[in-house]
Amino acid sequence: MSSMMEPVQQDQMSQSGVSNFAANTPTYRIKRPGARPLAFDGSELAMAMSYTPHLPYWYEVNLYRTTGQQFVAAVRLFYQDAQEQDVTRAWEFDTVEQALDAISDYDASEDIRVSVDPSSKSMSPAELAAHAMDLRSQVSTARRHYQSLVGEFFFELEADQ
Amino acid sequence: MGTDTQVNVDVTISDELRRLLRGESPPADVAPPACRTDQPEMTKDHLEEPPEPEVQPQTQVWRDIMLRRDGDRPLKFKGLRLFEWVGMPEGHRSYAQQTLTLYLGSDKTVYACLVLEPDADAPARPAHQCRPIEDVSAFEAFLNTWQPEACFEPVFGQNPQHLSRHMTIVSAVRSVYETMIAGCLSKRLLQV
Repeated sequence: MSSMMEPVQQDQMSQSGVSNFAANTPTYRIKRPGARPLAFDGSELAMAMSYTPHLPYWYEVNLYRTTGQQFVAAVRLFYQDAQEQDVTRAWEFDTVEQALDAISDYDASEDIRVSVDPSSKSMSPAELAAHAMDLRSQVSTARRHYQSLVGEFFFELEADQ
Repeated sequence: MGTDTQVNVDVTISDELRRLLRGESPPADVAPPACRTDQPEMTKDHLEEPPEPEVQPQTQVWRDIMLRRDGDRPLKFKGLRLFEWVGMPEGHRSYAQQTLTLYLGSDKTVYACLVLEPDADAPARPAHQCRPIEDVSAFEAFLNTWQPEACFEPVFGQNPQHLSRHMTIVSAVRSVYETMIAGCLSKRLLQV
């Protein structure tokens, strides 16, 4: 599955291999929607992904340590459909626990795309109610999917502690 | 929740991170290692470490137990497994396995754990829930919040056959679970 990830990740993150501080420390540049890219030199500490062949999307979480002793947490949403736009979110923290909390606390409902204009007057109340139910179902499904990955990630993380 | 292991390539944890969380310093003059990608890890839904033989070899009966929880860090305690029930839908035996396990903690706390393990071909993610159970009503509440059918995501698109298959599986998974909890609640296991 990692081989599937590589071409996708190139769109989201570049890795130049150039280091300012230490040999073999790659440079990461993570694109973020609505924010400047997060660029840093460092190493990847952990990764987990929820790829499932028969689901149209999956999540990947990554944890990095920068050469400046900061920690970067990233949550990526990938789609199997090449027409869909993948989404990456990333944050920088002072401690590894803060970064782990960011991964744990991420709300996957932020990734739900609303295709209905609730102010539209062309829809009947019944149609609006149906859309609302569908939206609620999507939110629940996305949260359940992401939380499954988070549980797997922390289980593996603490298995040898 | 079986004890069989399987190769897990979906999670990689570097030794550097494990050292960090244990409060150990990385070796000096060594660049931080990259995340391990060539070494598959063994995974289980739960871990039960055997007791240390050096410590109280005659009386040590408790094991270190760690239970995976969706959206949270694992639940860890010393305890024993009391009861395990495994169910699979008839006719779809490979599609999803559900397991209910009860543990007794060394402090006399009872823990309940529910796991759904979908087949790799299923459009579903695994689900793991567990919590301490204070009394029978808490156990009933725990069982009633479990929604195994919701783990199967509706990705059937425009193909009516996919929709039909999805509904069949969802119904079968729910049916297995309802049969299970009916048996559990009638046995009043926690009152034993």
